[in-house]
Amino acid sequence: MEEILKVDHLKASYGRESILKDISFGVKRGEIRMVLGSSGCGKSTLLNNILKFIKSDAGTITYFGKTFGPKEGLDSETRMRTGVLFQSGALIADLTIAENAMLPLKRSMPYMPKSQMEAIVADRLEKVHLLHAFHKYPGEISGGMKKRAALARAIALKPELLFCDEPSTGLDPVTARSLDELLLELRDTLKVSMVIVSHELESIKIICDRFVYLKDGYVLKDASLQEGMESDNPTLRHFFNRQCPKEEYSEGLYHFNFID
Amino acid sequence: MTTILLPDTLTAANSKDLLRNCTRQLRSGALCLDGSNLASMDYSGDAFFALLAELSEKTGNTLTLAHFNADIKAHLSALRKMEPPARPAKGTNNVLEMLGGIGFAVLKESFEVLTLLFMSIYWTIFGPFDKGKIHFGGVAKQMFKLGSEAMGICFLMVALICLTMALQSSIMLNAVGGGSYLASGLGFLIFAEIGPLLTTIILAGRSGSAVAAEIANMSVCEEVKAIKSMAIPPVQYLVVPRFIAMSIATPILSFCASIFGCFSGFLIAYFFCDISFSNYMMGIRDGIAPITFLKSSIKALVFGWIVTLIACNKGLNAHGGAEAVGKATTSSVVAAICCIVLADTLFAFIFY
Repeated sequence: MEEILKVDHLKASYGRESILKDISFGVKRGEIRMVLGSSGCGKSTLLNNILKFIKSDAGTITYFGKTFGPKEGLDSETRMRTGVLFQSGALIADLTIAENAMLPLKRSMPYMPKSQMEAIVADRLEKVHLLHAFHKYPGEISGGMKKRAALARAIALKPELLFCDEPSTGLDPVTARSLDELLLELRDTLKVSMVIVSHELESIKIICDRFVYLKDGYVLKDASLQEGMESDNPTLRHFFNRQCPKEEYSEGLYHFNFID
Repeated sequence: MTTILLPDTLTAANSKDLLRNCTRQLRSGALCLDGSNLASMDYSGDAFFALLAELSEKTGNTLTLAHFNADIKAHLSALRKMEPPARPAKGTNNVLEMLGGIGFAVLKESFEVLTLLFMSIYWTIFGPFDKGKIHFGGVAKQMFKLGSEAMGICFLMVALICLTMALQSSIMLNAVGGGSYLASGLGFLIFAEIGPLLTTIILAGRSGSAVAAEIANMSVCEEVKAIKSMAIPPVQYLVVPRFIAMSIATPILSFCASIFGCFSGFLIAYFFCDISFSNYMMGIRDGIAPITFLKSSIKALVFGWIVTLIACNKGLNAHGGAEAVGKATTSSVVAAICCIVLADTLFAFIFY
């Protein structure tokens, strides 16, 4: 199957600290690819580099067959073919939910009459079950609704590739589950490929097709969910079984002379 | 060997005196702590036994723990000697290197602000022809937020300072019999200097800080990234409406504030120098050449750009948390005021 995103030997750092040392993987059309790893392993940094919000040190990113170098930014055409759901939602506070979702439409089709844009936005908001919040401001809705509103904005242009940064983090289990099902529904109805950064095990088990697990700046495993869950690798075993490895120390202990 | 019987609980409240006693005993010889009564201990217990273990190792005197219950024994057996990691090297202490760093940062920021200026001018001219048009509703909203809402404070400040200035000038001019020159001197000074300078300094504190805080908050909350992700250039969406709004509002505000300043000066001229309104107006007319209004407007325009672009640049470069918003706001006000005064000095040499 055709790869619509290819990350090739990506390297990135913050100052002198190297975060991503050599990352390569691809995303096939219609696939939900998850980026996994422990906190601080560079998942969000990887997403920021793929989306070209920050410049990489080395490596290339290929979107829809078009390759971008480490210091290059994405062109408007590529940006319009992708959507991003940010961790916080990142809705513009002084615009209504509808106006937020309308922004990408205004940019790509400024000639379109407002009534037509509103109809498209209403359709997207209906898809995320948020039509009732059409005229509300981000400050007037809950965290889960903000994420769904941000999702409506991200899919406004029916993107071919959707990036989600921890979509279900901070949500209650029911809302998180409904968001997961929404993502699956969008994949099936709009045929959107997705790159999702998450460490919510429940969500991973529901929506993941394939994953890349990051550790120490490298890809530890690039496999299907089933392969990952059956892996003998201790890191993956701990991650998928939600185990905390017990560390036993033999050095640096105080020695006490006990007598009974 | 001295034996000390430990209490049934070891807490921060009772461990201080006990530790002093045990330390004294352990320094002079072997020590046995009888824990037959000890049933529990809080966080201070760890420090208590760790300190005694280290002292025993240092002095070579034996420390024996007798009759401790199994839980406490297991806990103490797992007690680790932790050492904090070394503090990372924090830049340089070399004064020259530090000055170089500051100079480099100033140059970098100047370059960023100049880039922002050229991009703003570019988008102001070519934006309407681009696919994503400038949001003219946004310009009007910004003009109201940054200009109209700052009107009251600008007029009041300029009027009061001009009043004070006129009063002090009148005392000196009356002393040398030159009270009639108050109007012409005051008019020139207000329109050429006080109006644009003071108005934009007040705008830097009021509107510049608001712009920096708003954009910094957007940067911190990933809203700027969201704008980028929708293929909207942040400069076009965030900077240009504010740039146009301030370019229009600042010269108008400066001119109106100068008129208020002149009227407050008239009060002093009338009551302290016996100058009638018509004479005062004639004096002002004699003191100000028509070109002064143009020079004053150019100054106000450039100062307005300084306020807007520095605030926008600080806001766009903010990253981190709430602290970054405060830092961007404070530094934008300080940098804008410094740059305005510097630019004013340059204008003084160029214009007069």
